[in-house]
Amino acid sequence: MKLETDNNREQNPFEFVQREKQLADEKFEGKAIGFFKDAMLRFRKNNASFVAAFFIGLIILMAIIAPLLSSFSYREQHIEWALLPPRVPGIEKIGIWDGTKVMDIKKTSLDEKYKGSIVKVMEEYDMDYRGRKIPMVKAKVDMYELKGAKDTYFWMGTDALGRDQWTRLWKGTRISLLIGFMAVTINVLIGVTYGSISGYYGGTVDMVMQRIIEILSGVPPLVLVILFVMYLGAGILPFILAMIVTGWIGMSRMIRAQFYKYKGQEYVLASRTMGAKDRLLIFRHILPNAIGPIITQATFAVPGAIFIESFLSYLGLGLGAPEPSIGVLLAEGQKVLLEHPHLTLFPAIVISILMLSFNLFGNGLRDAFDPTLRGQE
Amino acid sequence: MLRYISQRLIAMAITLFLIISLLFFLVHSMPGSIVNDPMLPIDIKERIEAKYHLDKPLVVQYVYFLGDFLTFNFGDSIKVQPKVPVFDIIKDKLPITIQLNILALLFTLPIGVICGIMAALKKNTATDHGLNMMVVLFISVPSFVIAALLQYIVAFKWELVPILLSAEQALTWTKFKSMILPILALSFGEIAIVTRYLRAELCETLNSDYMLLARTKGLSQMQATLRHAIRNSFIPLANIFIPMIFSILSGAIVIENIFSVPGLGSLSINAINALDHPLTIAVMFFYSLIALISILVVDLSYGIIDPRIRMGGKK
Amino acid sequence: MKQPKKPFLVILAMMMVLTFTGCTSGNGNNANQESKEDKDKVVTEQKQPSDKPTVVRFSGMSAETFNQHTSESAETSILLEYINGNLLDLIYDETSDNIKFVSNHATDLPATTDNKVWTFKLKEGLKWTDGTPITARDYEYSYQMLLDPKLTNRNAFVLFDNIPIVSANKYFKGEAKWEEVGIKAKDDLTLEIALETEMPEIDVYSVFAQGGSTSPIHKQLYEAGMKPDHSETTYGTTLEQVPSSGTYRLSEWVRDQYRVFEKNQDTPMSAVYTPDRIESRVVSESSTRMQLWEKGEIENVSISGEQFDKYGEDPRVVYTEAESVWGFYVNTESKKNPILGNNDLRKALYYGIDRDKITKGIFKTFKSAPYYISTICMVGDYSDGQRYRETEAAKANIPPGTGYEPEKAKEYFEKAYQANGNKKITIELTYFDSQETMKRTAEVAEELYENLFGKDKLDIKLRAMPPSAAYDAYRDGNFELGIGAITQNAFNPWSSMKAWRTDFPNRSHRFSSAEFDELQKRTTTGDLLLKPEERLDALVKMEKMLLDYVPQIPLFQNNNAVLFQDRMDLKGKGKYFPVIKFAPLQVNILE
Repeated sequence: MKLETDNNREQNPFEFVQREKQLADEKFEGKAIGFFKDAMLRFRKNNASFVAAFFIGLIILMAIIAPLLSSFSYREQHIEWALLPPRVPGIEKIGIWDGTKVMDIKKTSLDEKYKGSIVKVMEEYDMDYRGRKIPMVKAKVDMYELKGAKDTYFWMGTDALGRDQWTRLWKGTRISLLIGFMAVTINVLIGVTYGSISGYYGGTVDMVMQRIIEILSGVPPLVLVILFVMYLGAGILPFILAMIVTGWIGMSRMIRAQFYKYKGQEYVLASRTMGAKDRLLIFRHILPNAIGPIITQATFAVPGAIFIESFLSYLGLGLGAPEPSIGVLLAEGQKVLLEHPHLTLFPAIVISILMLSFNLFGNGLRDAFDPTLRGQE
Repeated sequence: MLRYISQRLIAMAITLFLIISLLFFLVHSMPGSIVNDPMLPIDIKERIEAKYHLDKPLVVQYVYFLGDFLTFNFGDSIKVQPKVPVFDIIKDKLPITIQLNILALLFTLPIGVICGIMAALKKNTATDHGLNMMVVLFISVPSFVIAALLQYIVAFKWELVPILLSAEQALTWTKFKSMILPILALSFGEIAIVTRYLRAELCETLNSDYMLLARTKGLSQMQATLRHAIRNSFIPLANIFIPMIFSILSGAIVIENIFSVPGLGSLSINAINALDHPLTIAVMFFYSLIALISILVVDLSYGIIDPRIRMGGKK
Repeated sequence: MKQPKKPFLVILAMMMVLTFTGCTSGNGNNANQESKEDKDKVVTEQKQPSDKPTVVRFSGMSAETFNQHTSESAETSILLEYINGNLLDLIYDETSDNIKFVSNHATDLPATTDNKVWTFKLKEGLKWTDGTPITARDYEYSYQMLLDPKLTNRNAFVLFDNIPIVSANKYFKGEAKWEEVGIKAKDDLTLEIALETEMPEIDVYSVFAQGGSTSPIHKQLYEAGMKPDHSETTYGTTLEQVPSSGTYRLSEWVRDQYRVFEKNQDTPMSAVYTPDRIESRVVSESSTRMQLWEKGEIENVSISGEQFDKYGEDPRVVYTEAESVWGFYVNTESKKNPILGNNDLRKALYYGIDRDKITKGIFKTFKSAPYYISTICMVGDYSDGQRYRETEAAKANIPPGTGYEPEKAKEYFEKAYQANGNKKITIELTYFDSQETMKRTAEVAEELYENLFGKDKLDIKLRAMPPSAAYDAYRDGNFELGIGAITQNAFNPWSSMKAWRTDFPNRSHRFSSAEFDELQKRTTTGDLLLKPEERLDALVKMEKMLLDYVPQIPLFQNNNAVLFQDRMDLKGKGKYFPVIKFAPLQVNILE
């Protein structure tokens, strides 16, 4: 080529303008923006996700420090103060969370059992019982006064053993989050590796690997939990193990589908024609496409794991007592939902905020990492 | 294609066999005995365990089991419904389970798909966030709380529907009315999952070049979305469809408990807890069979939804 | 660009609004109207005289089978009582305000001269609901099938464990012929039962009273359901295979959901049991049951400790009495933790637990039990209703109050602590994972013990296990402390003491005393059997031995509170009796 140009130089009517100068691209004015930095930039623009991230942070922070704020420990029992409704200093003045409860009581016991603790008698009525008329009253009762806990404040009330629900809730959040994060991290690692190999290589490899998945998913998680609890004793470990055995399957299926979607595409073929190695194709060219779904699925899986935990608690396969978790608290609360709604309310609020935050956070991350959105907005 | 399918079918049979074998050893390694009343005389316990070969080493039991299994004889339940053939038990419970699940799916899919499309089209706007919130609120509380609340408020306080599922066998109006709450409770979580996935997938597809092309050639956003984008987004949706059927089946345990539905969900738990191994294995066999068939169907449908995908193709 | 989007959204929004309003308004109105109509109906019904059929509605658990030979759950045994007749019956008797054994299929209570051979005379003209006659030969066939070595029925034990019928156990094991067994139909109306040893009448009566495993089976149906190798029968597994020989017949049965029983007229007991129809729903969730009760859709519901704040004041509350005493078994032979063999430690644990914190604090209605024999157990003649716990000798056996004596407990503990080489004592406590009450008991016990004896000196660790696995672990000695109870026979507390014998096959404890074993044998099969006073003394002595050794730390009796609807005017006025409980079928239904 060079030889030819040299030969033709004489006939060329054109001249290079910058014959003396070195030709070079202009330098970038700004700094180069990397993949993650770009993602961060776009993530910050998404207000909802940012707020969600803040809430997740807040809950994690609360899970760490909140138990320290209370003067009660998570297992300290005051049986005589069992099932107190919440009472919060300050807010009690406006009439909610003031530790009172509306109860139907016999008029005769008004002056005996309930002496001094009646805040307001709301209604008097007679109850017909087999011809006898029993005078009853509907009254607002100060439960703290009634149960002799006059100057104490349980911000979220107490459970059936008189333990501080506030401390138990945050302690439980801590344990639930721990279970969630541990299980999800391990599941993502296994799932991504397994799914990539299965999806990329296809053929017999895929066939065998998918059959293994099918066999594993045929095992009911309940049996696994029972077995793990039997051999390891109730606790966090058997839970995480039981979630791992089949938990990564969803992730690996999704990754495999992504590989099937992208591995036949032109740019991959092009890269392969250029002699790219398998590893390069998997990690450089195909897997990054899946980073959005991976992160989305992982963020959703954290509250999902907390959910499974609460479901198992409902079935009575909870953590070993006296450790609380959100699931254990919810399962305990659900049994007395009608009588003591506060036991369900607060754990439900925390799990809702967690779900909502992780969901919005996941969406934000997903958009931020989406390669097709790079440079937009 | 036919070759691929037949390959898969053979693999399926082998898989099923392996699942059942694995399950056999797992359930038999669970501690406890089917005769669990400590006050019963030892004679009774020994004789009953001997009758079901439970006193023999596990390998010997497995040989007995294989002999029965290969002749498709799954035996009778030994504890949950003693002496009833296991598949009769499952058959008994199928109608109500199917009724509930199909109705729940009929309710779930359209709403989930519509919400997903709306959220994706209106991404990061008030509509999107609103939908997101709604969807998340639905699933953010475990089903046993939601179901209990629904029952308490709608059935107990407002008296709009009965507290329990009606005992009628046929699907009548009164029965349907009593099924509304279980269906709602079953659907909430699933609607959210569908919405979430569809939104995620659609967002990606909407940004692809062919969508740009579709818009440049004059299609409206609606047309482009409905004709081009959704088709591609259904691939991952198919993927979550199987787990969804399963989570409905197993999530039903809680709902069955609360609304007293005599369905399949609680059967598996009862069988596992009662150590009724023939029944456990039969129920799991049944679940696995459905799962394997639906996996096969989904895998095959990849090729139909997106012809570029070749199932079983090598790298 | 925005143009096409809008109609789509508008339509969607409209659709959603329509569906939602449609749902709420349409449904709501209908339902309201209907419920109003229902109420009207109820009002009109109330005015009518009570000659129309009376219905009682109960909630319960699943029934696994209606074959009384293999049934197992408490729920099934209740349902079997409805549909099965038996030789005798146990009912509430208004004149004596007590329970009473009466004859049902038999003409009278069985006759005996030596307490060994008992003869039942059957009424004439007894029939199944389908018209097939019931004779003494059917009874014999039923017992033969119950004891059949091939069928290996679970409930066969009543004929050789509750009362020792001649060769019954041998026949069950396939070691004897039927001709050798002491069950003979002399003719169509005479059934003779021969026992190996003398038995008090109460034990014989209770075996043949109430519909259950000793009720007759319908021969044709039983044979028809038989598998070719005669190892199983499908009798009692479908509605068609459930016949009735009792006061009620099963008329509808949806497995795990619903069953209906209709009354048979002109049966021997049809005058005693009043409702014309029994409807029974399967409801496993306790909060659902509460709602049904509040709505008046079921007749009774039992209330938990948490609900007691709300319903405790209700005049309709009645109390049950448990037939067992719950406590922590101690593995005194533990290899891992030999200090459990120290009697001082066990005494410390016995005196060191404030039982009222558990029974009154959490469960409200439970009874603190520093003893081993439940309050429901009777001694002497059942018609006197003499309770063992109310005898002076039994009262002297146990410490006053609930047995909580912290100072004494601390003294004992210090001794045990020294015996442990002044090292911290760590004990693992096993509880049942699926039961909230057991979990709470364990949690409270952990807290109470550690606070009393000092967290630096005692550490209790909790371990959850499913009940059946836990009992297996107790039997095999793989535990340290474990929660559990022994069901006791209210009429025969002596026989229940067999669970404390060294040779008891499923023993959960590690107590072993030759003297105790000897005494227990003498009171149940030996010379003390028919001597009421010596027998009572022996019982007191046996309990004393247990209290000295403390093989289990007794905690509570789980007596529950139950609410009945106003319309259920129980003849027993809410008094609780062993076996028949509140006698819910002996009721005036107020409409």
